[in-house]
Amino acid sequence: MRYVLILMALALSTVSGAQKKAEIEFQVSGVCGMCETRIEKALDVPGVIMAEWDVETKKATVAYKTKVLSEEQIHQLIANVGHDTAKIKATDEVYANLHGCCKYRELGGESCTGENEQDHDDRHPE
Amino acid sequence: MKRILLICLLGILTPNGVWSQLNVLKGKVLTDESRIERSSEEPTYIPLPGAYVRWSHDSATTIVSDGFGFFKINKAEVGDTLVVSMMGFVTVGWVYNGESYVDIPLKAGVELASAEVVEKKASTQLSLLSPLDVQSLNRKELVKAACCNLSEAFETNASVDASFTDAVTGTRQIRMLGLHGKYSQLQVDNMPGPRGLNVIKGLEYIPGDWVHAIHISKGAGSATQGYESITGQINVAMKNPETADPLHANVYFNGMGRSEVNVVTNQKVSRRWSTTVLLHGLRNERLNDRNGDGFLDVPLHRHLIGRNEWKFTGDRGIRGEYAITVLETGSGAGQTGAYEGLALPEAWRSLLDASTADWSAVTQIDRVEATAKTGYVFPEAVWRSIATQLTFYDHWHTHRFGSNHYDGRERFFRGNILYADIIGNTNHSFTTGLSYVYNAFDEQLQFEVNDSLDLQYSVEREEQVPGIFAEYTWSGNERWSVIGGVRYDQHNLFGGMLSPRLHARWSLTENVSWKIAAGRGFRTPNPFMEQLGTWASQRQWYWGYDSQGLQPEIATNIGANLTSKFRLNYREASLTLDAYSTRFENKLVVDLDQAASAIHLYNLSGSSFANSAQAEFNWDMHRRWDIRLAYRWVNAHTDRILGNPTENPFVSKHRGFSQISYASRLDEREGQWRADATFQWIGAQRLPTTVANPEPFSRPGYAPDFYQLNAQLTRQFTPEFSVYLGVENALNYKQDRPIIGADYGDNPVAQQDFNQYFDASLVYGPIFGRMFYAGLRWGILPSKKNE
Repeated sequence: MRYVLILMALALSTVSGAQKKAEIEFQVSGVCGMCETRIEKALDVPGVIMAEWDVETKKATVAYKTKVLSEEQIHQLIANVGHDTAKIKATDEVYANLHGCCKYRELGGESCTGENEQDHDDRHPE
Repeated sequence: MKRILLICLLGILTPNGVWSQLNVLKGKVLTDESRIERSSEEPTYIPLPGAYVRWSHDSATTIVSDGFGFFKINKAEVGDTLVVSMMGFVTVGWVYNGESYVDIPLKAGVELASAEVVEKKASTQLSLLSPLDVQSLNRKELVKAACCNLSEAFETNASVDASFTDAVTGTRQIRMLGLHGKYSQLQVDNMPGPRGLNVIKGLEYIPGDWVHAIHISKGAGSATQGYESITGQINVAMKNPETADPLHANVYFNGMGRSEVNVVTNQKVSRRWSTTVLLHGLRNERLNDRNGDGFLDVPLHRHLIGRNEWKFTGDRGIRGEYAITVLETGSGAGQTGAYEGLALPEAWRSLLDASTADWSAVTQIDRVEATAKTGYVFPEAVWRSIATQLTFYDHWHTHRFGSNHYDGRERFFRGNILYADIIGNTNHSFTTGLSYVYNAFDEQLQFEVNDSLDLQYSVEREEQVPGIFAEYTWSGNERWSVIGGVRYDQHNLFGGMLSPRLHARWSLTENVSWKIAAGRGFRTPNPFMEQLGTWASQRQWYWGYDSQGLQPEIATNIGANLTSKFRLNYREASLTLDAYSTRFENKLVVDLDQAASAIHLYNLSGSSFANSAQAEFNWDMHRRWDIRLAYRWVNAHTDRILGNPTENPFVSKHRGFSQISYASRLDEREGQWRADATFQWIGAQRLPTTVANPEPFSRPGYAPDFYQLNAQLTRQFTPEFSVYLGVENALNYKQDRPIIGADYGDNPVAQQDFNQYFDASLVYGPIFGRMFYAGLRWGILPSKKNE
């Protein structure tokens, strides 16, 4: 068991770097699993440690390094791919390019069909 | 059940007039576990086909979701409740709000693996909710190493130890909780898997590319699946009509001259029937002798395996899965001289009967297996179901090792009838049923003691075991759940046997849960196949059990598991600690220590136990990096007559394990680079004593510890096409002089000494050094609508 504690200590020591980090939570409009993929992908940039968007609560949780990014930049990154955040609205141009089922601004837009990305669960990539 | 409203609010859109004129509500049923694989770049909900959907006020009309989890139902009034249910999942009541399309996620409930006709649960790595201690390896985990077949798939898993049975045949065996794999119940699609005469070799005959997921469950397991589970259950979910892609092909080559081809195709034949065909071919016809000891480092092989599965999904609650598997394999091992100048592989069969001047080992295995699962879910009461599971196989194993012959045939039939229902409400559910096992063995052995004396021996045994079982699941509280089961089997040779099983979970918080497991199981030993490695030696077999007859092996296992999930540097991590203890009431003791020229088998007198503990830490360190660290400790002892050492041989007391995985960002064609490396430390193992042998025929009593490094690089060009390149045993560690009696260049071995001392079964580490391999995977994925 001592061995385990040493391993744990090692793992912890690698993360206790001196950089300043912050975690924020805010609303992001979206509809489905495809939106989740798009939002989380948009935050796949240096400086973001963790980014999650919850399809049920529409809440984005982002942990980031404050020296690399600002909170506004994070909102902008999401708006850039077409999703409105609590602070920044996506432009109509980008929004228009969203998949039909992700058009959160129009109530009752084209529904997500059974053939969206969710079907592909874990079967690829191989 | 109060939480059900919380989890069914995915994808709600209030429809406008256009959509509401269509008088149908469309929707999709899927799992609620969105993160099947933490490194996934995409959310991965699994659609749930075969879920039941109906309006609460109209029990006469029940709709079953189709192969994509999709359903259509006539609309009702706003405010009505839609009831969605499926076995193994918590039933959901969803209030209709005028939508035209809904996604309905179902939460995995307490899983009664057996009662599910079709396994559908999302394959999370670790489950906090199931009372069973289950670790699931899905496709993404399996492709981290080119696991050509199941026996190699565990090389990158910390819970299961894999080792060679001997230095000539290349056969691998597994250990769980410090005990031989025969004490684990191996299942394929929840049906009996490698067992009986096939208990070791059977792992080789499950190609890695046929496997959809592997579920490793420690502890006694469910009472509904038979009495043979002692240390745990390994359930291999094969690719089936629901999980297979329309086409998948894989080729593999390695530096030892082995080539493999796998093809899996999937086709929907009609609305109700779909079928999957799986083919596997393997050959290795190159004579490898890298260490120059005159023996092949890896055997010559030829395998042909085919499987066909049909799946039926009826509209009225009837579902079925029917599969047939056939295999034909041949392999040759031993001294290279035996094969030189022969036309391979035709010559192998001729070598089965005639012994060669050089020592050789030739094996031929043929097998046919058929399984049928049929289930019916009562439409008016979706928690009530009845299912039958039938398995039949006929297995032939013929081999010649040196001048010893073995010819075995096993026939097996098992019928299981399961009835699942609830008591009052879904907090109390149970599964009960009857089983019947027929297992017939016919083994003919012939040993050449010396030139003038041949010993013939035959084992003929017919087992008939009717059984009755019941399992009760209580899930009335989010913090607690309990599965208690018991089975009684009336064995025609050993009498009545009671196998109680208990699993319980207690969640301290949402992210920390305790699990305990206790249970008893028994099995009939088949020593000639379980000790396959011993055939690769000059050891004489002694059956010390003749006076009492062959007795069943009976053991009790208890254990505890603590699983916690937490955040480390904002990213997901988990820590699992477990400890298990197995105690034998009876065991067929395999004693290799009485003399270096003998194997003694006798019933246990005294005690035999195995205690094990494991710690495993997983951390999703970075979006693209994952790490896993594990440590496993085992202490296993068996009392032997004549006071030989009690520590079980070939068990490393300590094993350390680390794995690091990298996956690059998906490019615009969903291409990706992936890299995985596994580094392990395998501690010292006791070896059966050979001190009485003169030099150079003796070996140390303990094997040294050693390190193993495996690595693989995968380039996925598109999800349909990827290539991989890997290396096994990158540090090039090789067991020192693995074969006693082989000439390692120091001094020639006289034939007489060879006949007396030859032993290739004392294997603790790799025989073949560094080995490179490469392969590609290509397939056609299910059609996808353009974005």
